[in-house]
Amino acid sequence: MRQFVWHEADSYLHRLNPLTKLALTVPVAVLVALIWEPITPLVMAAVAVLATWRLGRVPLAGLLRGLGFALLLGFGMFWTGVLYYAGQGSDGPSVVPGPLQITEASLVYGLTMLSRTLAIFATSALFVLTTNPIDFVAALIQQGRLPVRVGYAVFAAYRFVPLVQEELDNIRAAHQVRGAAGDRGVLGRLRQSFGYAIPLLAISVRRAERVALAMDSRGFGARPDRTSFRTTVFTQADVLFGIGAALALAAIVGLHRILGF
Amino acid sequence: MNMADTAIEVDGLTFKYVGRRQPTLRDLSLRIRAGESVLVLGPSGCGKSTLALCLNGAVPHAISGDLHGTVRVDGLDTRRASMADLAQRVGIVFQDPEAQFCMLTVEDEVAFGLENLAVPRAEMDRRIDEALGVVGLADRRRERIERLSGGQKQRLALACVLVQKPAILVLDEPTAQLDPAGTAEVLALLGRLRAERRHTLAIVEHKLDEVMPLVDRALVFSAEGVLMADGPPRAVIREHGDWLAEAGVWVPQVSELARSLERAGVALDPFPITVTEAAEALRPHVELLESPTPQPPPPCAGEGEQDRHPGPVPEGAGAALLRVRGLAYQYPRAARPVLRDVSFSLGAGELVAVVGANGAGKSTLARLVAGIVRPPRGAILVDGRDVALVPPPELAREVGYVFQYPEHQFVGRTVLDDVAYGPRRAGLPEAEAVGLAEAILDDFGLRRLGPAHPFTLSHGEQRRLSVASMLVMGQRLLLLDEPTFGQDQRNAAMLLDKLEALAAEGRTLVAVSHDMRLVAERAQRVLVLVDGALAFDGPPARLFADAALLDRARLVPPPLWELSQRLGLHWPLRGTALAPVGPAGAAPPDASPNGVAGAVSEPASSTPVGYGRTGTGAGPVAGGPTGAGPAVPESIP
Repeated sequence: MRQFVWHEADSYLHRLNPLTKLALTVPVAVLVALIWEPITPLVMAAVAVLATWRLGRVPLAGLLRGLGFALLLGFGMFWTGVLYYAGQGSDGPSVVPGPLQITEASLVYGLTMLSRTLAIFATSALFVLTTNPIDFVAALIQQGRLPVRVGYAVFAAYRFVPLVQEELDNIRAAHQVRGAAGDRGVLGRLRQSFGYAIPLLAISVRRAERVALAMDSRGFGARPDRTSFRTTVFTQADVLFGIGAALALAAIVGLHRILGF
Repeated sequence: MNMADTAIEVDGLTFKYVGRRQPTLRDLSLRIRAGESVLVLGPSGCGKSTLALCLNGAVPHAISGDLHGTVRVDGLDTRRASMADLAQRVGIVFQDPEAQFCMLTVEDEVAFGLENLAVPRAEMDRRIDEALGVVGLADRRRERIERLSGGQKQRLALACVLVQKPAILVLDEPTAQLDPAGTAEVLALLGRLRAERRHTLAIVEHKLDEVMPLVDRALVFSAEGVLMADGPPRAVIREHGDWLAEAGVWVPQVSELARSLERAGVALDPFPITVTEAAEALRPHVELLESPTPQPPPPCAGEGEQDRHPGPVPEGAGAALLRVRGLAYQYPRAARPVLRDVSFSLGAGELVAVVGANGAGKSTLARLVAGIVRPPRGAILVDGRDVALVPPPELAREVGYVFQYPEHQFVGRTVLDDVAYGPRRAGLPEAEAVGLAEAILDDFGLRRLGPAHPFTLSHGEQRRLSVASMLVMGQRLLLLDEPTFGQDQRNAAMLLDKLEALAAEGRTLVAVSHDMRLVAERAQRVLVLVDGALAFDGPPARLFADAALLDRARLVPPPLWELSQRLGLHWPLRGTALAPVGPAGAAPPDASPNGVAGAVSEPASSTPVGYGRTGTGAGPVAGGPTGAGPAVPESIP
């Protein structure tokens, strides 16, 4: 998952308003929810990856590594879909040899789940990998009318994730050297997690308080007429991207209708 | 006095936090002139940080409590003014470099303060460049904050407040979490700001020898939050020396030395508070400090850097307890290895310091030895057994690891439970587990706190508890991460006395530390890591004599070492002629005989001056080897 964060570069996609890129995920999610076959979402995923690579200048290797996680999740969805599919055609003849009864319909169902996951992840990757989180918050505040306090709270939480992870590692290590690694079974694990929770909470709260104090000390939220260092605007590039994305989606859906796959 | 000359005006200030019974600051009144530079001293928990927060208006705007009296900064009543107006008058830098930023890149972070003040966008770039220029980070403007070193982060924090153009700067232990080189960076910057005299400075800091040249006034607070003394630093430290020592307040090392000499009948004039002054004043008294048994001279050119002297090992030591052979390590997904071909052995009873810049691999080394990070096979042997193959719970009985922040490692809901955790885990019967725990709590002077929650203990008590918990199973190897961090002078000295006593019992102690004072005065041997490789393994005196190595490892020798060099004396400085630091009769009734045995009673020994060895007021932890629960074998086979 660590690869799945902002890739610092200057490109057409990087220069777009973050909200434009975020907005793209909406029609994609709606369309893949309406389409009941595996190929169309897969085409959408491929186009999104291609765009992120060429227009976003994100190295393909890193991009695919990031999508590896989606593939893993997608495979989970695939198997669940295949094994538990109980819709039309689920009682047909098995298409694979072996003890499992896997019909063609259930296989298609599983593949659809897999490619939907990929489509949504790839579109999100286009947004996440080419967007500086600070710009995203700025756009949410400037164009999305989000209150400043809320915007920065969201951002602070985002910044906090790796720090909390680090603290958790520390606490886990501390428990280990105390001889705590022997806990087995559900109850033992549960008790162990509870042991982590209190110090983690105490330390995280303290840290959050310190950050809040530092922000307040620099006058955060004290003036209603706050200015902004980063200005995000909608430009022609955003309009262009919107038209391009709409055309691409229309073309993919059109192919789906014409070829009927 | 003219209003325009007064930067800070405090009248009858009393502040009590919500939920506390006692006020943290009591009836404080003081005036600080514009351009003055003031040092704030006091034992931990005395309200130094609270005062800092009162000065910038965070109290009462961001932190609520019971506030009486008034604070005016630059003529503005902090209670009535908004935080935005206050931010343009008072800038504050906190101790934790990780917890004062809210952005990802340097320029965004500096801009944040301008945005809050509604500075027009057109003005921002110029002001950001200006502020970054002052702190020497102009070329890092687009850098991600996480890629900066600790010293750079603190300089950035200073740029973030300077950009708001405050007349007053408050610095709350700005170097506490930095390595020696980072500390030097930040203090040099403060020195430049001070030379310009454009700002009024209020500084809370423990590294006093280095800070003294930067301040012209010192305020001393008692543990109860009462202003005890206020005046020129020299007078304050000289006149209140006894009280400061008893309260555990850090004073310059050279002043500690001067006070010891004074007790021995040698008064220095002027009373020194910096290394330079001390070198001047001590020149006529050099013979008092000459070590009776000169250490071997610094290594001559032919000798290799990596000498592998086992160091002085007390009697009863056998074969190596810890053997590290060709250890290399790289974290998964990291670009570079953290450790490269590190080899050394430690015997029983050694007290060893591991030093190096941040990121040199010190903590990783300690974590590998403790098995927290799984080492490669065959690289680390504890008592002949491969750490990579020993199951963690079993390793935990041999190796203890004391974390930098004690809160990380508390697993019990009471002090007693926390210590008894290890023995219970190991499957000992309840009575025996509690017995072991109580014995070691006794040994560490914590028995009466048995039922308390570990989080409610003071800094010093938490640190002692964290050490006690790691020794309860009779662990023979103890690794400590920054053991003196956040400790006041008295607690640090008590803890180090205890560590020495443990080493004398035959336990092996490894302290990872930036505290060069600890290294110079307490370690028998020091390992230096530079970029993951072992660059030095030998006695501290040899390390500090090697300027090129110090430079490469980004280390700075402690003030007393500096002094010994300027006087042309061998290390350690002799303390035989010196009386113990601290007021006579201050020892608590339960102080053990070892605790009060000052250097005076043992004129033959060459007790080095230093880490304020607890001559008095040592309390129970200074009590040397007592029956610490499970018996430590006399000699390790």
